[in-house]
Amino acid sequence: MDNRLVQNVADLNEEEVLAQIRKELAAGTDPGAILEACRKGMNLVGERYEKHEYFVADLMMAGMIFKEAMEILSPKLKGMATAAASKGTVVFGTVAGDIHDIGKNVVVSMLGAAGFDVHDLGVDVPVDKFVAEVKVTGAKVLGLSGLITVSYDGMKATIEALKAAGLRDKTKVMIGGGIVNESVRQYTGADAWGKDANEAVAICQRLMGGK
Amino acid sequence: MRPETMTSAERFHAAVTLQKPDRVPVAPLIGAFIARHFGVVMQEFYAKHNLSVDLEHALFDQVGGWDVITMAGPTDPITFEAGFPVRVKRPGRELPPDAVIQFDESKPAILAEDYDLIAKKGWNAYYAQDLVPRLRPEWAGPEGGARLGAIMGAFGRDSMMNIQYWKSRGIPLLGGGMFSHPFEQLCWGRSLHEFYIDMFRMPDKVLAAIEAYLPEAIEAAVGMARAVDIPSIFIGCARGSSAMLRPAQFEKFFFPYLKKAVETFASQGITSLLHFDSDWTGFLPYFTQLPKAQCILELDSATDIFKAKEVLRGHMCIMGDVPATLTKLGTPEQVSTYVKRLIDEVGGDGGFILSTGCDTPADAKYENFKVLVETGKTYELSK
Repeated sequence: MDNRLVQNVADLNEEEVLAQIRKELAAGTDPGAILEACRKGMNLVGERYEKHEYFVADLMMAGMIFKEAMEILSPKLKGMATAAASKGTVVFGTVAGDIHDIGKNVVVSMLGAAGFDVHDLGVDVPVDKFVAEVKVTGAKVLGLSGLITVSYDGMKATIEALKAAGLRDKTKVMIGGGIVNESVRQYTGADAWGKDANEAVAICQRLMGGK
Repeated sequence: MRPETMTSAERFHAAVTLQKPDRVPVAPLIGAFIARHFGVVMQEFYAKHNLSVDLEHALFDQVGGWDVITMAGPTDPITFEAGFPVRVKRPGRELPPDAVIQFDESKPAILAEDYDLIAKKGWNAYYAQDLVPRLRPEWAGPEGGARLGAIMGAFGRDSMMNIQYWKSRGIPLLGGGMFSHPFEQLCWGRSLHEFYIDMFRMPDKVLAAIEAYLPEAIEAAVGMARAVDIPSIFIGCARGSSAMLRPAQFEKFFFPYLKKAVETFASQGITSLLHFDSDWTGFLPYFTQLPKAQCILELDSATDIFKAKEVLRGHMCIMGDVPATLTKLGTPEQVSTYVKRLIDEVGGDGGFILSTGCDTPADAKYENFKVLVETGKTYELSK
């Protein structure tokens, strides 16, 4: 397999990406290798975003292409020990009192492309649901999203509930969305905050490493 | 402290025309904050026009007043429900009684195949014939239309009473009409995610719909401004920003249509209030192409307002941008420090209106709101 798939993902050439994946599969290429090429393309998307060549609309298109690629690849990847192995489990959601999901969805999609196993609980997620999901999955990272100021209280309550359930020491919490900043991190008691999807991926990688 | 030498109207006019007023005009946006401050449950606040208007007046007087009222009228989500192609979640209906309203984009109201319909029949016909039956069936058809007409009639009557009230007090008003940028409207209706994907997959269809919608949106905005005799038009945008789009996409899908609208308004003596949420820093140079001294760029703290001043000095009045996070979580000292910095660095040579970053959040602290207004009114006169 040549480098064209990586480039096509990075250049957001949707039709070419999907056609090429089908062609490679038909030719017997290892689906794990195809997935790895898609991930490399997504990394380039992240780099272009970092360099201000790409913006949120581009991240959404990239997320869409990756999702479609995964729909084709997933059935072929089942049971295979490949590079598709998860880089860790993340529970994610928009906190109680807030139904905004655009930023959350972009972050979830970029985290998925980066190899994390993301459990997206949706929007307006009750505190108890976050706690239960962290408990069941053993997620090392909990991502809380919110756009309106009301969400700061939802984030704070979720983190306090995590503490009450005895899970806070085992779980790192990252927050983000809209106008979240350091003062919100301090108010909520989160471990880290990020301003965009790229930062979220970097923070998640750091937190997974226990830092 | 030196005395004031201008009325609110003179001060506002000076700022918009890029002159230096006696002090910066103060114009916070308030809505749900009023209810929380006076301990009124949000559901009741939105439902009772007299109540929201009376409390707006009470808050104004409690802090000793300010200079400009933006979008005077009862705080009623009907303004969104009647003209905005997105589902609105209301307290007491889909949300707890004391929640603020929220927009629900989870299920797109506008479908991908609708672009062709909009391009063919225009927005107004599409909205009435295709979108309302799907989005708000209770207002569809002649009977539904009459129901909505009655609701909007009451809202219009109460808004006019409030407008007259502020006019009688000599307070200038901003936002007589509202321009719905087709890009933003279609994006809300399609949902942000689907609309951005459509930009990649079917750019020509998206553009054709925007083109068809534009003249109607301009006409509606001018009509509203004329009807209430307030020569300014509110243009609320967030989705065409430099955080979201590449310059090439902005040039193709967004800016030409904004420019056309603003130029049309300016040619009729109407000021455009560019209420631009999200981060527009990367696109600031484009705004120098808009008519000089006939726009106000109102920022919500996501755009670098200091950079905006640098780029637009001598061309466009800047308004903003005390952050919502600061009014909720900060101290009065922090708010005061930020307001002084805005006045010194953005307001220094005029062309600046002090305001909140977007709306004052419902859960802002009153002492922070108060110090925002007071510092705005006294800082320059005390120096």
